[in-house]
Amino acid sequence: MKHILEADSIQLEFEGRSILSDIYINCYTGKISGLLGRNGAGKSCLMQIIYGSLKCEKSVRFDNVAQYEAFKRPDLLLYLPQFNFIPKSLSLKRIFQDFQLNFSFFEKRFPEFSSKYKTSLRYLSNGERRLIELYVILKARSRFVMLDEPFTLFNPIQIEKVKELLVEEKENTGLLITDHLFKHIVDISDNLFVLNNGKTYLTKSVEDIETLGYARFNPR
Amino acid sequence: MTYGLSIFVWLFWFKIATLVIIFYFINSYKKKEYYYYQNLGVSKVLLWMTTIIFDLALFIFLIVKSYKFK
Repeated sequence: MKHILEADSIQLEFEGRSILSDIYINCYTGKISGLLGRNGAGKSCLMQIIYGSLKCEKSVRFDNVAQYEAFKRPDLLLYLPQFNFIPKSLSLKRIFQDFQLNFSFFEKRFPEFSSKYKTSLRYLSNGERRLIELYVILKARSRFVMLDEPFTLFNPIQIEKVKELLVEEKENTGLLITDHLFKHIVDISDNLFVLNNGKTYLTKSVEDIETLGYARFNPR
Repeated sequence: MTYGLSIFVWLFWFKIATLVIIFYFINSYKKKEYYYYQNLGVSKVLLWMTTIIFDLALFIFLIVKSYKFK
């Protein structure tokens, strides 16, 4: 069965300046929705609003049922923020137990972690920490997952592996992703939204991304 | 110098004041880590209520014990 996450009627202002005003964004299970926008456009704020950790006027619906505080429903929505969020003191063993995940599947995909099962995050590099965070959020059972900058901190080989993982996971989950490494977002997205001047635009072609002033595909 | 029951009243309010300071400090220092617990379905309120209840219960238990030994 397909599920849908929708967000609209969002009004966000900071010090009298309107940040988000005319938003409509959706995400379906079995699909990846990409979200692009310049720095300060409000992408992370939009994700936090959908998650419920940033309060403002809004309508967020899961299968047409309003959910004001989605962070209380990890079965519906999980969120990878753009910063490291897992306490450094925790070991991989503890993290995988908390999320009820099998470490051997992870180890098979990322053999470089095979000797680190009992290692705490403080002894891992930022990229390794990020990979653990991304993996557990993606693999934990939830209908939808929002990923804020999932490609940042990874080398090109890891990025390819992460893209494979995302495409694989979309079969079970609806994914909403934002990152400035936009070519990867364009590659894997089924729907692509651009956030510009507080409004979302559903793009129909990559040319729209240029027209909306986010990126140039063919630099002069 | 003798201490009566009033010292426990002072101690109690001192404990409350330190709890407020600790709450404020951890709330800003550890705020990114709330996402870990929220993604596991544990709310901030539940985290704080559990911590504060345990902390206060331990404090009261130790106060009562020390009062009996006075």
